[in-house]
Amino acid sequence: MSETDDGNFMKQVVSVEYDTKPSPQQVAYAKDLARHRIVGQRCPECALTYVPGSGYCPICAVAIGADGHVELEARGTVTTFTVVNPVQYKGQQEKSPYVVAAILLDGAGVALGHQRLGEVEPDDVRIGMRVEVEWAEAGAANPIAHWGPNGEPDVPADQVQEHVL
Amino acid sequence: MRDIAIVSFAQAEKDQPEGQTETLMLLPTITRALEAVGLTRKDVEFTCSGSADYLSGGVFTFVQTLSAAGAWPPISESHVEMDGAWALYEAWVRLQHDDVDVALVYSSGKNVALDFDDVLNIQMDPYYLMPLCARRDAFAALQAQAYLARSGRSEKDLADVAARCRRSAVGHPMAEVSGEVDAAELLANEYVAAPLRAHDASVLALGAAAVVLVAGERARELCERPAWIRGIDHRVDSHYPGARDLSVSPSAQLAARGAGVADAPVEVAELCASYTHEELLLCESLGLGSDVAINPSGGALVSNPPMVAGLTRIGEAFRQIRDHGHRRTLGHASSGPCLQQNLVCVLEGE
Repeated sequence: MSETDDGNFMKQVVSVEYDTKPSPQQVAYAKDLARHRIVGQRCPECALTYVPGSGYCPICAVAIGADGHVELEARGTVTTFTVVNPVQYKGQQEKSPYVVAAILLDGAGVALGHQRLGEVEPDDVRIGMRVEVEWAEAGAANPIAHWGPNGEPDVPADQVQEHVL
Repeated sequence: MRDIAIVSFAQAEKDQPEGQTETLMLLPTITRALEAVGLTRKDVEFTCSGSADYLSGGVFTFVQTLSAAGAWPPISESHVEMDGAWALYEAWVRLQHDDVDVALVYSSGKNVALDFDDVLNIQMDPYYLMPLCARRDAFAALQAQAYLARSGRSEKDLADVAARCRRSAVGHPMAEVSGEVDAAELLANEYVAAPLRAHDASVLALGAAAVVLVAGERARELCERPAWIRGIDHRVDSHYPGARDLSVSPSAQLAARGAGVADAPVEVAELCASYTHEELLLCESLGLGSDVAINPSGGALVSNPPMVAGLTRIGEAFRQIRDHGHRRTLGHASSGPCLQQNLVCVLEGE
């Protein structure tokens, strides 16, 4: 038991530690990504492609096996984004504003979330903007450095509004 | 009361890949439970699940497992942060409303990412018990000691329970431990917490299970030999083990009375005993005599998947009616330290 500052409080002294293993689907996705391949999973019933896949289609409640694996081009459309203004707390690595976006890859049924954009000023990012991947140098923790504009004309925003999440 | 029957029961395969998600354990399990009686997910009118976020280590993880039940278009569902046996109770209550006939019950549990004692510890009262970080074996040993002292039973009786469960489990696909073993041999081992030895404690497992409940005549159409729920009740003792007489289990007694256990002879009982002494104490509390076959599956002692072991006992009691021609069986579930909470479900064939 711990000492108390006053009679009304006591410190909690217990904790639970987790040693969580990634699922087989997460392991496979990460291995492919390290080889600069983006592999999604296509539902055998509704044909929606999930990136990354979880081994099942949550809409149809069916498993997606190895025969449903499909490789996608590392190219897509920004469906939503946010500009992060990094607070300079201790340990903060980011110095200037940057953009995190959801990207609907060509051929995918759901957007890939939490993707860093680069080669573009935050003020110039648009919903519907076309982007492609910039791979990181070998050995980086995240094989994707960022996604940058690929010069193609924007997709009308209303065409991607169902893919914000 | 409306007549409601268990018509199907399925369990996830024992061996799962490392890191397997609960959703992927449940997906084929639910499919098998439904297909066995010619149903699909679209036929299910109410779904209730049991699991514990503290085991999976994420918030609202039961929402992910809903994908295994098929939750689009939106379905009518509920969840209990308890063993699936309590989800079955809720589904039974829901079917009593008389407007829906088919319910799916499932539960899942993983214990591989953590020290299970750490999780059980945080269910204790936070002021006096939690800071002790007492292991589950320690609480169980207190009850075992109290039970042996009161009943006059011996550690040999406990070893006999372990030996019988392991013998019964031979050939059971879910058993983590099984085989012929001599009680005297077991007694030669060291204590893990006196008077308990390793063989007195259940073997933890990961698991998932699904049960299908159907009301009225439809149950007979779907299943040749449905198991009718003739009585179901659950009761709770004080949350503080120090305030209880651990040598007895009033909540188990009350649940047995509420479920009508004594109304007619029970042929087979599947008891969720996590320790050998719990089985003996439960037999006494539930009024089960020596003529009742106890845990023909080996019970929770040979395979104890958290949140699933209780639902599995009810599923095994159903199998005794559907597959082995028994007329009246009992499934029991337990939760909390020292058999704090007990659920009793009495099943009957025709």
